[in-house]
Amino acid sequence: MSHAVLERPETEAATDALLDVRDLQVRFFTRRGIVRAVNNVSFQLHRGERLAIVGESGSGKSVMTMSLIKLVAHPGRITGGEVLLDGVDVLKLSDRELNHIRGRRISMVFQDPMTSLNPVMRVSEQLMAPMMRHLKLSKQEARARAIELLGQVGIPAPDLRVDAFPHEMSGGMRQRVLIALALSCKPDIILADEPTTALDVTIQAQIIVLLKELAEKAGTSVIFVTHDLGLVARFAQTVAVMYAGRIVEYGPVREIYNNPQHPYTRGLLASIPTATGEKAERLVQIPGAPPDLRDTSDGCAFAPRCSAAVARCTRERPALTTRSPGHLAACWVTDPATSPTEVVHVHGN
Amino acid sequence: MFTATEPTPTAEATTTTVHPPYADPDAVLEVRGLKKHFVKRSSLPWKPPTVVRAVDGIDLVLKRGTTLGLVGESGCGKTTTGRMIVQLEQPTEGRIIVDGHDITRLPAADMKTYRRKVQMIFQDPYASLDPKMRIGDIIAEPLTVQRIGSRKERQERVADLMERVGLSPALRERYPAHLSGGQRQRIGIARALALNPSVVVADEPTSALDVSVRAQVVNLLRDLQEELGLSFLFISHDLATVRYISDVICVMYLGKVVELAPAIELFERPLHPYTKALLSAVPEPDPDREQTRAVQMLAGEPPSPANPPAGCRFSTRCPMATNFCSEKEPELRDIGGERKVACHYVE
Amino acid sequence: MESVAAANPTRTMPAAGLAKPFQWLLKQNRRSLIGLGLLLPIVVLAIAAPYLPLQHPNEANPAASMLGPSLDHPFGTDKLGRDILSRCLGGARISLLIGASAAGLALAMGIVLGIVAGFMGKVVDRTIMTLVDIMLSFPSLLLVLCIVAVYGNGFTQIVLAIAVADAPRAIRLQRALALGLKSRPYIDAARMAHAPTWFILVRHILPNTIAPMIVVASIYAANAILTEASLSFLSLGILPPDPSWGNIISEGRPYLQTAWWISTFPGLMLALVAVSLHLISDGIRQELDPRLGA
Repeated sequence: MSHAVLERPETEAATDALLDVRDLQVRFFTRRGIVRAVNNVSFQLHRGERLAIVGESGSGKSVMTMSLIKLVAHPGRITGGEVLLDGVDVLKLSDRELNHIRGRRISMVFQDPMTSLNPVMRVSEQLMAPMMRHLKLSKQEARARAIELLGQVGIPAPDLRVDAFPHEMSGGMRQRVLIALALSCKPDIILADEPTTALDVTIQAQIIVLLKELAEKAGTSVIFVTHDLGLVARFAQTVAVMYAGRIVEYGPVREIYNNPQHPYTRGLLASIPTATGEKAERLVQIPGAPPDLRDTSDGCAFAPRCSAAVARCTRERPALTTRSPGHLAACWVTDPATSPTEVVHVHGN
Repeated sequence: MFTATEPTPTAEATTTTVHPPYADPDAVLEVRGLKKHFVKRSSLPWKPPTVVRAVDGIDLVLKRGTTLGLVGESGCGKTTTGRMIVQLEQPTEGRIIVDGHDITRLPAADMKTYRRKVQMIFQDPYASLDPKMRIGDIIAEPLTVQRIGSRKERQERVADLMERVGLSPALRERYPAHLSGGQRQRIGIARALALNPSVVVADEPTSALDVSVRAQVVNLLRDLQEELGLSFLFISHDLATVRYISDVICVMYLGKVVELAPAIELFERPLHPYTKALLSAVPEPDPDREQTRAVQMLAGEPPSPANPPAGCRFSTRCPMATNFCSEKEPELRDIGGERKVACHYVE
Repeated sequence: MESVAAANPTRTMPAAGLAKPFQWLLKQNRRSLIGLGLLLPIVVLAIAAPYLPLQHPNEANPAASMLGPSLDHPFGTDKLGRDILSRCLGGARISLLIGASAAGLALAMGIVLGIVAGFMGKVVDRTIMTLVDIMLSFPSLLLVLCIVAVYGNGFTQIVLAIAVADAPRAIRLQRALALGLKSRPYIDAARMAHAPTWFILVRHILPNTIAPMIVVASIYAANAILTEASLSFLSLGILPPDPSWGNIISEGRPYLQTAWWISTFPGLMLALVAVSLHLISDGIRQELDPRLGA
């Protein structure tokens, strides 16, 4: 397989990075073939930064996020790369050492608040357990802190609610509990995988604001995984767009939205209807469907669906190149530096 | 287990044509005073049963060849409304009028004909197709069941339908497992069109699809509407999509309609406080706007449809609520310009 | 155009109909292969038994009584000089036949009653499930014994007795499956076409519940075979001189110290058949599981 060496996206000074992911690779070894879920993903996360990972099903975004704390389910395996947390490679740590990281330095907020909480344990127990373990708090201290956290995430009468069972709470409240849980041990990074997808729009708005405020106050970095481009616009500072297991575009949020460089990003932005502003005459649609990740063909994974694809796109996979400071994209056609060889468009229009 | 309450009997015969002033001649579908209450018997014999008022008296009008968007959050009753219209649920009260015929309580024989007029597109493209059936058979099923046409004619119709929705007829021998979400949804659409309905109820048709595929399906629905003169009831919680495809939008909250307006008007000038909050909550793909503006937050949690608040159902969360709001429930008033609002304080 | 996923030939699913996916599945799965590998020879031998150069199972030869395993008599002989191997194979015929018939009958009853109960709900459901609960409150062997004691121990009676004892489990399972499917949108879609209930049951519910039933089919068969052996062991099933694994084991009981082969070989065959059936069931379940999921 020939592909150019990937340039690692660097935002500010490289030494500042809290999390440095290099050439991460995850494969799933199924009976039906090898699924290349994450392919050579590299990026950095700085303290207090809010990074959104955008993609659809099959983009590898969730798998990639889970693999940052080595939570890849069988038959998947992390087959390459490094995840440097303050210089230490998380992937090389033993299980015991990993347990110090998970929940303490990197915590997670999952998608479904219905199933992410243990239904037979009270909320207080679930909140107190990690604090007692990681922070070595006593039972009383942990309980006091749990009540404090519930108050911080906006649950009314927290001292009464703290002993409730999850099923006694609504979806929005449960999600707040999950956020409280994620914040409890004062982590450096929160991984939030579609935390609001299962919630109503009005509740979602509350949760997003909450997450943003709390993260800012505590200086916690957040990696926010989602397919909702509106949420990304509201929440993120930096955006990484993933397609077929790779980052195809990366940059500051305003840059990505105002000046998208990858045809996939452009396609996505043009295809979503908006609730404000000009009503689109007709939504621009992206033909086809996200690819099968067992495919091992050379060339850009988006080429079959890309209206701008040229012959080179199907032969050679483009590398991420810098378009403007901090803004990278992997595309032959939109890269001003690429000499336009064979500008014969592969697809009619 | 939930059991539906017994429907209250109406005086009129069930299949008479409904004459004006009941029926709007332009309306292909009308709903009046529709209610659906689910009764759950309590496990303890002396406790009263819980009544979930999923839909508690709504009126809708769908004009021929247009799209009526039905929006609201979970628990507002929009899905139940859709299911009642296609007769998958029996209404507790109220009437459903299609093409001038009151079909609320149709006897079985007439139901068969009614089915040809109103069909549904389901939300989940993975669960709405029988995994053991071939695609051609899935699309042909309505024709097979209704014994329409010969086998050959049905096959031709299936091929025609598949092409109309943008699928190659060569796929008819395949099983749904081979296809993507977008393709499966197209099959669902083709199946819904098989009986040549006049009204199609689309229940969240794009929510379960990938973002890059949603536009395909929405555009397809619009094209089909133009080609075939279909009327859509588009149920969704995704306001942006509803705005794009609907002509008129109806906003529901806790089983009731709180606002009804032409799509453009609703988004430019929302009147009901809930509509305003809803629109404010929707994140737009515009970071310059989103990162600077304040989102209007609603207080508290959505109440349960088993226990709706007294007076105006929105009063517990409304930023404008007064004591009067908790005493008297506002009616859905016509305020001109084809707009209706259910709020005491909106002119 | 939609080309990517549809054109991909590697994602194949078992087609409708049972023969093709059955063979295909079993080719792929080690457990079912081992199971089959153990079971098939026994089945083949059982079927071929009358044509093999063996002593007739009921033929007594007092001169050769109580002989240990040898070239002439690979499984030895019993007190009456009958060849154990031949008797085992004869017993195999009967046991396997009873096992298969009883399991098949139990499954059939389970499918029909379970689908009806699950789908129609309310009164029908409650009636059927009450009957099921009553039946299940009896220990199954006891139930079989009662039926056989009342109606006699012929082949038919035994098959029916075992089937009736096993049916409640099958009904429960099928009902649970039908209930799960009842709320699927494609059932709603069929209703939208105005499909009558029987059509929905046969065309939609049944094909989608067959797979889990196949998984339990071999377990029911194993269970039925063991039950029959138990009956025969207790002299309540197949009676000598007709051979059945159960009654051969029973006959050999007094001689366990001296002529161990009389009970051991039929016992081994019984165990082998039961294990192989379970392995096959396991293997099928493993294959079907990810796809059963939805």
